Amino acid sequence: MPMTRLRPVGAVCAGAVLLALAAPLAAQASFGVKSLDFSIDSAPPPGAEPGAVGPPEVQAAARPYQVTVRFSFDQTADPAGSTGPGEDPKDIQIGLPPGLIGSLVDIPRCPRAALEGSSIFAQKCPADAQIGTLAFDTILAGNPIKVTVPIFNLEHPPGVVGELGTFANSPAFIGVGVRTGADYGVTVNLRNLPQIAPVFGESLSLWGVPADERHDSLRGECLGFEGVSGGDCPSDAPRKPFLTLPGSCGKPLQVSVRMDSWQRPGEFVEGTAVREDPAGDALGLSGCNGLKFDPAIETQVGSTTADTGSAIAAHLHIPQNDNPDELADANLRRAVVMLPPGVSINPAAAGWLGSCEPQEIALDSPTGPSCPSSSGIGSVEIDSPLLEGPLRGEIYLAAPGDNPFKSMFAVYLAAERDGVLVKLAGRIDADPDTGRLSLVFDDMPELSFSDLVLNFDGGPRAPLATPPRCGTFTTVSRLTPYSTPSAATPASSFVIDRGCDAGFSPSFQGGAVGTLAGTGTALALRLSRADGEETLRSFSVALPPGLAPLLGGVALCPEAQAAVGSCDPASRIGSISIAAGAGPNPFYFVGSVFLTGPYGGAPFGLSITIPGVAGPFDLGAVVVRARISVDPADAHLTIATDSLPRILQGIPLRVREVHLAVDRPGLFVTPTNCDSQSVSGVALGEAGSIASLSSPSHLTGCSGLRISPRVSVSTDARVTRAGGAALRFTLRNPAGAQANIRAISIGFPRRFSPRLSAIQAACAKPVFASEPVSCPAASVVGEATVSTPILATPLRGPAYLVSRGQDALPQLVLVLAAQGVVLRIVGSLHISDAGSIAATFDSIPDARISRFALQLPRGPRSVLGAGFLGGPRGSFCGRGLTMRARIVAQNGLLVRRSLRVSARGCARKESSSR
Amino acid sequence: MSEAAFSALSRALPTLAVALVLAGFASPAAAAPVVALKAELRPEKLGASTTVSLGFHVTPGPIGEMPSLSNFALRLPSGMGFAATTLGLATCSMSALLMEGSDGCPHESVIGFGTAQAQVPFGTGVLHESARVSIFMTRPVDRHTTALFYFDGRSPVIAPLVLQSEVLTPKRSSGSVLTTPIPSIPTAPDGPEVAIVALRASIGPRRLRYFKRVRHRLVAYRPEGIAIPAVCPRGGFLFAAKFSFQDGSGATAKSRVPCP
Repeated sequence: MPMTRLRPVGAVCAGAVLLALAAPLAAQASFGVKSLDFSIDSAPPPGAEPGAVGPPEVQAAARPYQVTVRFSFDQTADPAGSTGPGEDPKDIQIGLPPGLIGSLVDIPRCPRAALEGSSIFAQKCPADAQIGTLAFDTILAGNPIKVTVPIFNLEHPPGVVGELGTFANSPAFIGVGVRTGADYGVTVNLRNLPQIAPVFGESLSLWGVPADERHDSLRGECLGFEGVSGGDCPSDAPRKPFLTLPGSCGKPLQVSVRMDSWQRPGEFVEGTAVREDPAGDALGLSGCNGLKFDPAIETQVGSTTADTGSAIAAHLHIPQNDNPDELADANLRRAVVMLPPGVSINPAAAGWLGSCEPQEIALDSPTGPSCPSSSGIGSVEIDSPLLEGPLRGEIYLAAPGDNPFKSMFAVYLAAERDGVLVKLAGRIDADPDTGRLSLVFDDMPELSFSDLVLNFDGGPRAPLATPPRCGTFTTVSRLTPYSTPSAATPASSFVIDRGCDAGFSPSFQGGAVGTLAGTGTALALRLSRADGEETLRSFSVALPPGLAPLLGGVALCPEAQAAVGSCDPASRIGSISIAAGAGPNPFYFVGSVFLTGPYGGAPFGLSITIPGVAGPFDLGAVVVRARISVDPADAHLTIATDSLPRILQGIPLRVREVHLAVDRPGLFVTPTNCDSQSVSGVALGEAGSIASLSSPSHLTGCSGLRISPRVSVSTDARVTRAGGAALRFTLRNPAGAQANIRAISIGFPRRFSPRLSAIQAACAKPVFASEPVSCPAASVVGEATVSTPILATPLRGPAYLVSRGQDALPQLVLVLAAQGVVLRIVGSLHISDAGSIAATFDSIPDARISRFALQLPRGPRSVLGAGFLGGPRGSFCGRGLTMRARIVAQNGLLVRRSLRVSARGCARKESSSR
Repeated sequence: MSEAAFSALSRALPTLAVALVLAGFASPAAAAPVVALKAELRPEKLGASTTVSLGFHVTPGPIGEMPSLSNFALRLPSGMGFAATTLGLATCSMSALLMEGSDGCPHESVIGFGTAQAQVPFGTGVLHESARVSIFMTRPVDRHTTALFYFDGRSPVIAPLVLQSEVLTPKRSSGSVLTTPIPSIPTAPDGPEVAIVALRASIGPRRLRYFKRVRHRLVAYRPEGIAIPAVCPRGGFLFAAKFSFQDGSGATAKSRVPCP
């Protein structure tokens, strides 16, 4: 076996290694590794000399015959000219190549007391416990000599993975550990080596299968002080593998040595050596293609109920072959586990969830994790043949964005047993459209394990939720071994069979918070669904007529800001909370509601801005838009949302409840009609189901509301046959707690008659229904204006005569518009046989009206004429025109007014009469 | 015909209608309306200038609704016509009537007066419109003597209506025909139509006063009316009318004025 060149840590040039190790110390004293040699040997051929070894072992995952690390120390010359080691080695840490593992579980052990009672000539440990030899070069009686002592597997205290020991003048203990935070290779730690004599070099040999008969000549009593003493000392222990070579091929195998001296404890020098072939080339392993890799996966759910937070376990099983005469199974390098569609991150967990920062998990450090308990989302269990029991630990949620993957979702696994601490980082990919989760563990350490179980917590704070529907759900995986790039794809299914078909019937409460008629109130809408029910996509609710906002004082958020959720606070009118997640404790996203201008064809809209901050996750602001349309007949509002957020950054929100509160003081005013009403609407589910919504609304105090309108009527003095007559009707309402007007009936003066020519020119009903502006101009017989605090500007618009065909007299329809709001106030015309005409508007919206003006002017389209007119023209002056008005309030109060109609254009006396 | 007589006629019409149906004189359509016609001459003196009074009243058929007239053609007795009259020395135009009413026409264009009743249906309700009727001479149309019937409806709705009536000269020995097409008068778009259900009108000098300037003074006079033939045919003077309705149905009616 050729000597490998010593390499300093991180150095490339082998020639500098010795300098690197020795030179810094040489100025003080000479201490360092002179040479370092590393060999992995196959078994010697039959009949070979005792102690012989076979050629280098190159088969991956093989059980080597022996692994040997040799090193010699720097020597110095004394004044007499003889040479010797510069200093006495104290601790020597030998780092075996990653993937080269040793399992002491099935190896007999020597009690520590036996070791401590031994002598260099009389080892008292059982021979079965021997797992190798330690030879060192020293000087005895002035002569160089190689002393060989057995290495035993010791009984070790709890908390350590294993301990080896030997007796060379005094007990020496050799620790075994795993390089946590690094490459998870095995490190053998020779501690407190005895200062029995000057030591020039040492050679540590570990046997692949300690009970192998080919080691009999070096076992127990057969091992002499100076090596093989002859004879066979077979082991009674079963042939179990202690060492297994890595299952990966191609890359060189390297050992590292780190040591200090008794003279300068703690000052370590380091070196590495790569296994080489006789030509001096790095010698790796081969034969990976023949390694078995037959993993299995099993996923289980704690609850088979749909749409609920549940414990979910993913169990990877990789069979391990412990036959010492066969190759070990390949180890897992990369695992991708795709949980079934529907299994998703449960937003409900966000309320309590914390995250683990990189410095807390300290992946590159051998120290244990210090992640906050709030970041724990489950447990992990790793069963390895290296240990007598499984490593157990926690699954931590990694800090979003601040993790090795810079990803939103990642986990850390930290499991420990007997001093072996494994810390892994795994990325969680959440499909942005479906929320399907993939757990990805790249570059897992090459440690044999038979089982890896990830148990995500269940209960009310479960981080994962079951699919929202029933069925059989399959987890698929892609598991790639160290041995080959090809992956195995085991799958596993579970069944969700409870809580199915819960339907879609969300509960709904909504309406004015206040119950006193005609007063300011907040508006609240609350929809919620039970677990298992179809997720809410959107909803539309119609408020009761009269429950209206006074928009005049609210700044409307411009569309540009509304679209991106950056409205000014002056536009804020309320708040929203959206409960998301499965289980009894959903997470509440809380946001603000802003009033906007026209949106989606409606005159007003909402910009609902919800910061998507959920626990440690900042999913970005979500903006939900809603349309506020105004019914043209009774002015009731309909609020219709766009789609509610369904999934954010791959987290299906599973919206459970939406609570929208419009609580800007003084914005909404309750109706003045105390008849039973309701807030009604529809909710749309994600799967397209539709549910009707209804919530009763009751008000009190209507009877206490009064009404005191002031009404005035005027006409033009002049009346002509061609131009007819004019009439102006004006109603003013005082501010304050007044009942709103429900109906106005105007009995025109008896001397006014309707003109058939105007009626004949009425707009056809279908034309008006489709678009009033398409009506003939002749059908416009007047105009009206309504001032209301609900809008910033008065409603204005034409008065149409609209035919009702064969059904009845045409209607007088006021089409009023302002700020995109269009109202149609319909008046019925009545003509008595006596020729008196009246117009009754009996469906006036329950809204505050400060002024209502209706003008029916003279002109070719005038609907009114003077029946008394025999000639082409005449005058109303001096005719003492009177008329009656009947006003009904929303609360039923009736007010009658007998009005004198003033005629404009008469002599002073006439025009001032009233 | 006096008011009382007309009223009595109206009351008798249902019975008359039934009788006509039973006698087989009714329109083939069961829903055909029934029309009663009444003519009078004042004075009733052979060879004299007279005022012709005409009246008709439409009654819906037994199962029908009140139909709207589309044409009214009145055949005068043979030998009676406008040729020898001085009625309508001036003329009036339709536009003047529509714009200004009767006041827009010269006195000398008036050739008669009357009243009319119409039904103005609006859905299930019906307004009963009464209108004064004035009859004016207008410019001949196609060289036919033409009159304008101006219906001045004011109550309950203001509904002026002008109908143009042409006097068609007979080719044989029959009398002149006064034909009056009546347009469709919808109350509203797609709405029911106004139906003229009764008319009473007099054409002639009675109650007419024309004026002429005599030595710088306006002097009132009665124009010459329609001349009654000097010989009365057997059975008296026969007035026959044919009524056509918007629904396609029709009716005829006759009225005889006994020989003086």
